[in-house]
Amino acid sequence: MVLVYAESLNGQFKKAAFEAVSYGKKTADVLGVPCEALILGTQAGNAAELGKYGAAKVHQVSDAGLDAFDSQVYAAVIADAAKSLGAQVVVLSHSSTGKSLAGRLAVRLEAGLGFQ
Amino acid sequence: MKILVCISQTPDTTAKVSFNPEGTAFNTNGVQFIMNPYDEWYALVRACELKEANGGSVTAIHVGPAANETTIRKALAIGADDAVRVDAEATSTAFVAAQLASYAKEGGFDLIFLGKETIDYNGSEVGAMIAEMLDLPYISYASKLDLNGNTAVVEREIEGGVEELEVDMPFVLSAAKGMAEQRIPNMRGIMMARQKPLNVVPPVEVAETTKATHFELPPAKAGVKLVDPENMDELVRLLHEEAKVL
Repeated sequence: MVLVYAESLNGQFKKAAFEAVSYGKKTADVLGVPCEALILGTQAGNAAELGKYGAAKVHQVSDAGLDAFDSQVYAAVIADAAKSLGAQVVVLSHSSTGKSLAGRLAVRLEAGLGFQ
Repeated sequence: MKILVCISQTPDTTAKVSFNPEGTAFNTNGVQFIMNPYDEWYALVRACELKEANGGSVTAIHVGPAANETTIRKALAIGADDAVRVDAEATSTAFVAAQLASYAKEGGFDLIFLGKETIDYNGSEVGAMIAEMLDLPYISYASKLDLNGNTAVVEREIEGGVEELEVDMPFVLSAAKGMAEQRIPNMRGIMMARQKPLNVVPPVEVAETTKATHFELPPAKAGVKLVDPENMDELVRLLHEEAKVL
């Protein structure tokens, strides 16, 4: 399964989140596996929107502690989700948030890292 | 206060980029290398300013072969007190991060600075990796930093604005434009740099998870077609038939 972390701001998904889900869907198609999305916090966007871009399922960790971005906390939560859902690939946006998370996740998951 | 500044070496911005015929390696023939500007202008200079204002020391660390010591000496000339070279080729972000984190772990540093990215790979990942390996907070793209006792007030660039954060030391920070002004090393600094300690340490072993297998240049940009302003028919034809936007 390909897991995409979909970033949001003020209750709306960022455009970069849709790009990430589209890329995740393409990657998932190559691998022949489903593409699923992960949203964090209580104020993420409308999950159904991600379906339009290829997410077969959307997982939400709905905790007010995740409403403000903290790379340490986010990386821990995304890594736990990736492990428990059995993700083969984790896709992030190439944004300031994504770049703060990707290196941490690669270390946490002992995974390879591709960027840009 | 002990500050560690991670410095990288990159091709000069005017370098002509080419690869070996197999496309497996960057061709370094005739390429001038410099200290990565974000590491130099922002991370290193701000670290030196903090040391000058608050006392302490600045250590510059670099992962690379002996040939890169000119870059390290420049860091010493700008104001670092001592330097460390991890004696290995920088093969991947994970490898470099593991070397830097390994040294930082033993050193008891209050602050670990690096530039927001290198100007060759633009990966911007080493800082996050070091922070995770050391279980420290990481502030990326910082454009301003002021210290108030053990707490730092940091501004960082985010999409569409600036975020202000407070963070307790120790932490890892990647520095962006605005953090400091470039310093040109003076003659005294250059002379003193020769006397400052440059310790060479062996690399730690790292299990590589990512390997670059092939490089290629981006496609050449298409040429510009000039159309006579009187010849609107030709412009419409080009937009319709070639650009296919009409």
